[in-house]
Amino acid sequence: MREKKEAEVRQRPDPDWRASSPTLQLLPSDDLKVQHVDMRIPDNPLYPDTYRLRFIIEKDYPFAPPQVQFVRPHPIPIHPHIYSNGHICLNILYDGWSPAHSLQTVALSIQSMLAGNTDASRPEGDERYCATAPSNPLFSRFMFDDDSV
Amino acid sequence: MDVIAQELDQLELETRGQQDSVNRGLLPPQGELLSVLKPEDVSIASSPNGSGYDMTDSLDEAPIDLRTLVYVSIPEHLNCPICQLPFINPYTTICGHTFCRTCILETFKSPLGNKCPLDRIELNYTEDRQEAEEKNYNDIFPAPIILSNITDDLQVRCLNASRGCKWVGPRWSIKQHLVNSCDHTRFPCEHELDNGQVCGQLTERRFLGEKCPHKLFECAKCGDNINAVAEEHHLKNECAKNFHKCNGCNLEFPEKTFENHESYCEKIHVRCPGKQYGCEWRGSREVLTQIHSLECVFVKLSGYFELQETKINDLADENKLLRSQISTILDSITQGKMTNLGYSLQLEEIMDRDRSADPGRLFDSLQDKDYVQLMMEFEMLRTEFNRLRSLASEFELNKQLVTAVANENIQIKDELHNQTAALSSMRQQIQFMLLDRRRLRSKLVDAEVTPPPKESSSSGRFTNKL
Repeated sequence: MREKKEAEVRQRPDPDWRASSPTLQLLPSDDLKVQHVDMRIPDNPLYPDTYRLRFIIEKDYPFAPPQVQFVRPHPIPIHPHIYSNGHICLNILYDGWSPAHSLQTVALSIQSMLAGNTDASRPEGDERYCATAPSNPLFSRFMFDDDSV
Repeated sequence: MDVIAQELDQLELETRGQQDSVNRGLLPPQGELLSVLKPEDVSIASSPNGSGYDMTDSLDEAPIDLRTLVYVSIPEHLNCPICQLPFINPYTTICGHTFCRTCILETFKSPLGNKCPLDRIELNYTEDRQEAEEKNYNDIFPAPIILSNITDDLQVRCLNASRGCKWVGPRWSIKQHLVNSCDHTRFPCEHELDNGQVCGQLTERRFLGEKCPHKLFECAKCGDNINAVAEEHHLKNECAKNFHKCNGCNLEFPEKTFENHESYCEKIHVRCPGKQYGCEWRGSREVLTQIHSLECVFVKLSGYFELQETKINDLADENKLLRSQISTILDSITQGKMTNLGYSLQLEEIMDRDRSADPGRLFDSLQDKDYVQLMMEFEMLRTEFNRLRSLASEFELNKQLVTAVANENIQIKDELHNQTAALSSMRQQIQFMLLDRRRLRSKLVDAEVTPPPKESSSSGRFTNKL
């Protein structure tokens, strides 16, 4: 599968990336394993900034999800599913992963999650989580019980 | 939403430690992975000629990995949703989606399990052929042959493109090209060295000949030791005495700096930068910069032209994007399904949802619970609708019956009328006959009993009574 993974990563940052979603921008990267995407949220006054997502491609990608989180120096968006350390609670990044997802579809999902939000708060137990959370969000155990946002 | 953060066990803490040291650059981050993701760098380092296809043993050809091929153009619809490359040995699922065989089988081994990666429909599949046959599993099967034919016909570049091969051809012929004709495929050199051993170095086909191409000789120009394989590279990039005369300034420069010189030589003849817009002027660079570029209309307009060009390109891009989006939507409509974050919805459900929820929240509220609830509601409404429909048809039947009865009733009434008419006419006839008879009898009696009038009158009264 190794060529496949390599090809996959090589294929994704195609020139059409920007044309198909102008509010998402894949940053050029020398390391195929780590990719960054800058994201703007149009039409939601809660999110005026540009936010940066970091993708770390895991060994089994695309059959296992990549590590996805928001990173500084850009602000971490305030959302009831996003912890202040940048970790995102979204089922498709964990149990709900499907190999048919790509970096772009993941970024789009996160973007739409932010675009539809009206609740400017951090998740419950944010401080406690950030104090104990592993650096790799894939090692956290999220409960996907709130489907309202 | 909550997190069971306290449940981090020792293992995870250890992993965190490792991760942190990786981040600080203390440990190589999964060295294996790095090499996996950057095979090109590795092979470039090992061979100066770039990566490509090597035949280490002509009897046992190295397998050709079709996934490393570079395509001239890829029609998006021919891409496997998993590897994002044109299908290789495509298989189709019962839900109508197509993947490379290896991709879908690998998916079945992943945490997603035996489900379609696009709509998450359960697929029956087992690796055990006998079991599959017993249980009659046929949820995934080879895609129509025409699909393989189309993908095999896609134009690809040679695997040795980085070594300089310009070949472009259909995918099915790449093996034939690499093994039999490509000049840049490397083979082990079979010539004997001076010490009697076989040379064995991997060498491109174009260098293989009667003499070992690795034998050193002196460069005719500078006297450095080179061999046939390195000659081209040496003359172009290293040799200090391989002079090349400049057409502009008539000075000689070594080949390795010549390209550099051409880009700034003041005397060399160049074309006007506005030539793509129609300027025919050509002359030395000196004249161009000092005179022509100041007066050429095309140069003055080039900024405007460039702007137009980028605008046209942007529009073409947008057009392409919209076209692809339309075709995806058409596809979804023909398949009767739309996928959204991996959930599949029937079109009628989406329309149902559209009417009730406001569109902005449509996609965010699409979570499991909500979805299931909507599904249940929809099912309830559907059964209710079916019940009402059957009631309506029953009612229709009753109505028909009633009209039939009413028609019959009218018929019977008519008949009854006829009967009454017949009856009354018969009664009239009988009365007439009775009258006639009475008249006859009274005549007869009168004739008989005239002499005794008393008796006659009494008997006449008698008959009358009768």
